[in-house]
Amino acid sequence: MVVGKKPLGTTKLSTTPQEMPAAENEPAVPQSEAIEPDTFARRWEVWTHEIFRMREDRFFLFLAVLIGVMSGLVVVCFRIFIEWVQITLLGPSLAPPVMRVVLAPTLAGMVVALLAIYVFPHVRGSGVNQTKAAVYISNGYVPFITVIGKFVTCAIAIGSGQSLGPEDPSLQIGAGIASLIGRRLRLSTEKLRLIAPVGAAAGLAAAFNAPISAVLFVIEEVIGTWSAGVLGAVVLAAVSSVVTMRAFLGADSLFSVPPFRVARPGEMLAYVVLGLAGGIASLILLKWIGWARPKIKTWPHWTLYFQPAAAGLVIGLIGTKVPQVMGAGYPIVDQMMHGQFVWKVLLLLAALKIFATGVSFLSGSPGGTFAPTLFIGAMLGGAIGAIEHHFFPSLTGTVGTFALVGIGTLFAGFLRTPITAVFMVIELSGNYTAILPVIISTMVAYTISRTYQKVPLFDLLARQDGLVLPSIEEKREMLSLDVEDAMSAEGSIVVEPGQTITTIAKQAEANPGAVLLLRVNPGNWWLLDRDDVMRLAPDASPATTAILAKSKGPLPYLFRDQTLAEALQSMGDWPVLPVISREDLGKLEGIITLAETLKAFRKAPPAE
Amino acid sequence: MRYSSVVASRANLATPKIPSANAGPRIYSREAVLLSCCIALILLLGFTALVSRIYHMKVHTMADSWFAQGEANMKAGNPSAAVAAYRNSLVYSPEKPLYQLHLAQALVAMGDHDAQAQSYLQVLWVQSPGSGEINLELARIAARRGDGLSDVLRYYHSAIDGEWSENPVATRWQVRRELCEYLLAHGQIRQARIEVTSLADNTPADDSARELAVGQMLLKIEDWTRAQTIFRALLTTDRTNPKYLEGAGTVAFELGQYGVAREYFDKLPPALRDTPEVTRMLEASHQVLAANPYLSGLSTADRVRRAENAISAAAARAQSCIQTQSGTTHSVAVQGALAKMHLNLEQFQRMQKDWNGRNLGSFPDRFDAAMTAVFDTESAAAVACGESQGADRALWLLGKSRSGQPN
Repeated sequence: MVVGKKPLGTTKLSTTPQEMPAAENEPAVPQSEAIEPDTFARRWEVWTHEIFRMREDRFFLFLAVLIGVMSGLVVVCFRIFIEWVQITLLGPSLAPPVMRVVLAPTLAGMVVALLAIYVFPHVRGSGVNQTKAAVYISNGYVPFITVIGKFVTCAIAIGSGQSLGPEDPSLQIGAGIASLIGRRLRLSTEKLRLIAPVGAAAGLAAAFNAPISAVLFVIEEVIGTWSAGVLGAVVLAAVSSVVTMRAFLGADSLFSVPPFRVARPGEMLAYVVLGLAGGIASLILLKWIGWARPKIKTWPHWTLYFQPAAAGLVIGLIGTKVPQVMGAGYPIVDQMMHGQFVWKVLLLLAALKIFATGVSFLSGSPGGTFAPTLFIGAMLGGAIGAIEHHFFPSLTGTVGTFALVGIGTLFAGFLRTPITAVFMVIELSGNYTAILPVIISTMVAYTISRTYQKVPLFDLLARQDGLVLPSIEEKREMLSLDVEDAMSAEGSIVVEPGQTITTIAKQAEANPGAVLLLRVNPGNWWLLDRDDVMRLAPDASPATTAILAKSKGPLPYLFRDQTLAEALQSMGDWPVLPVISREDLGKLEGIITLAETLKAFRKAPPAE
Repeated sequence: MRYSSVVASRANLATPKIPSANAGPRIYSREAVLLSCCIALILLLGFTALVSRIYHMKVHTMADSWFAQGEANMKAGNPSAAVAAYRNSLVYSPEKPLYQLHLAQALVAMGDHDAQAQSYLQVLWVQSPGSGEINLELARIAARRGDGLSDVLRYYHSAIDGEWSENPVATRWQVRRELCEYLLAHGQIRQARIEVTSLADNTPADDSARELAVGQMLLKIEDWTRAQTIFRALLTTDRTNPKYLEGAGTVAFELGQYGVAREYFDKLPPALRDTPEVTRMLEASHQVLAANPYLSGLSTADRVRRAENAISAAAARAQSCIQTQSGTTHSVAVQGALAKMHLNLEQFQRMQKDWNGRNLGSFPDRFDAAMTAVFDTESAAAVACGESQGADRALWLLGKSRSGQPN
């Protein structure tokens, strides 16, 4: 909204108008205190005063860094703990002994079930929906016991070989830490709601070693909007978390793939095929979870004690023949990117991983779906790449490149966050050369998944749990109604200040019902009282100009590309507002009324 | 969905009860909370540092242990077991270049795993494009897979110019030698001449083994003069070394120094002298020496007799060759050779009186003219009818030698 003669872009929307900046309200430190002895307590007091004298938004940024560092440290410990559990339970080899492969996930499943039922009641699931629920239902409240529970149970589940990953739980762990700090600092409810996604981004960034992807995911999936109020904090938290993590675990990319270049534009077709395959695979996984989960939920309560163990047994039995499907599977992905497996094995691994991930996830074992998605995508991509290479040996992309693109493809198709998928591939590989194939392939997979599975995974899971969380995908894709959808180019007469009343009255008589808008100067519009003009007209002399008639103003004005929501905010009690040109503030493009605005809303198609 | 399950799922999902204000945590000042956060952060930092240190120590120990196992397997000639061990070591130190390199080498050693090895090596190459070892492995894979010559040469040259941690001069020499062998094996003689010459320039004179290798490559690229220098130098260090003698004999033979060649070949141990190649050269040397009328120390009668024999042999060879080739179509070169033989044959008949025994012994110019016609005839016959055997071959070789052409 722009009012009167204020220059464009200077209007400031205060997010928390009720809160005055602390710096302005805080009483000055009395002079007498300045000469007090320089004790530690005194220095601490002064320092903390300085901290809290910061404006609330700056303090929030400071908190974001603190949360980022803490989340980074916890995620480092989490990842180490998972590895420790894995080495302890399965042994240090990529091909563990058969007995361990069967027993470890089964027994660990029993332990996880008991912990989830008796000690940590909210640890089931991946953690993404729980964080969303915290933001939209619980005012950003994530119990700290859940953080501890997620840490312990996920490490046991993933370390024992369940086909799950540590990324989504890290997201919830970060959100939990942020929530705890926010509560202890007695932040406002609004800030508490914002701080959970900040922690979530930090946790995810540290788990993935990918700050941009983490920020994008939180925005694409959790927050849903590019809100300036939270974006800075999310970025800061993610960056500080990754810096912390790298200090302890190193800065190496998750996968290393040789750079390549697409020699001919026609090669892009190869990635379209991969996109099609990725879209279909995403649908299979989505439908499999979406179909089986409600059925499993109807099982008797006592089965909860055995579901993770049963899933562990199934995965263990698969693992006796194909141990690659166990756990998060990152080393296997790295190996396949170097061409270790032939395409038949890759397809088998992708299929088994889809099954194993579904089994693990449906059993309620705590753990995330990111890593399995990456695994499936890599295997599928590698298989498609190998097959295409067989028929078209001149393709420049290696099997590793196809695997890398496949990761992004399945991520976009399954989790339905296409922008995150593209940037994730770049960050995970440290390789920019695959960007074009990734964009093409992810878009194809996303479109297929979107077409044949209307509800995205996280929304589907929430609905199955009886929750109505906002669908970020719908929000993202919803068409906004703009001023031009409701404005009318006719029904107004532009009047100049020097114009005689007689002329204006003649124009008004010729256009019954038209509003009279007085253009004092560009960007300064007033509403002329039509009745007063008509009253003055019979006795008006040539010197009686528009200035002498009654008018109200200055009117807020709008531009045709602004949203109707903004128009409503500006409308206030005005019966009509001018819609003017951005190029020339003195040029009227139309007018908008409350009635027309509401009519436009009524005509708009309802959200799905 | 059943109501109970909805309730249960609601209870299980992240909708925990928000604690009421009364039940909430005790209210502390922000300063106190911030102080506790800082203390918690420091404690967490210390704990993470400790855990991380222990973790890294453990992980590196395991990685090193797997790597050592891989090395042992490689030494024992079991590359597939080594590959498994190296893969395990990479699980714990995924970015360690040494492990990746050794894995790639083990994959190469397994055979039929070049693509995998190449993938690891290319990643390493991106990180260290100047590494000699990585470039060498990539060159070997490119050579084995039959990639283009330019790719192979690029990797080999990068390896030669690249960094080598141990004994760089000797290693670079070895890599260039490998490149030369690749080029010679693939018939890339022009490129091989450049590389072998460079190899010879960089070979230390006091290293007999390397000098010998270079000498043998010089024989293959037919750089006889340089090869002769090397073999002569080698013979000064060991006059009885059969390889030196064989090399020197070959060079002498190819340069038309048949007496010298025979001398070297005669000194060879019987086992080596009986090899087909040496036997062929030795016999040819004997025949040339037996047919050569220019040999120093011959009496005039002997010289004349050899010249007359040569004229007869050449005339007979020309006649036989012309008869063989009559009635068939020929290339331009063969047609030219046949025409030359016709002329020479006519010349032999026309000059029969001038080139008799008395004139040949008395007039050196007639002797030379007659022998020139002989050599021309043998040379043309070789073009038109292929290399001959026995006396004709001896005369042909002699002609080449006289005209300064190497064999």
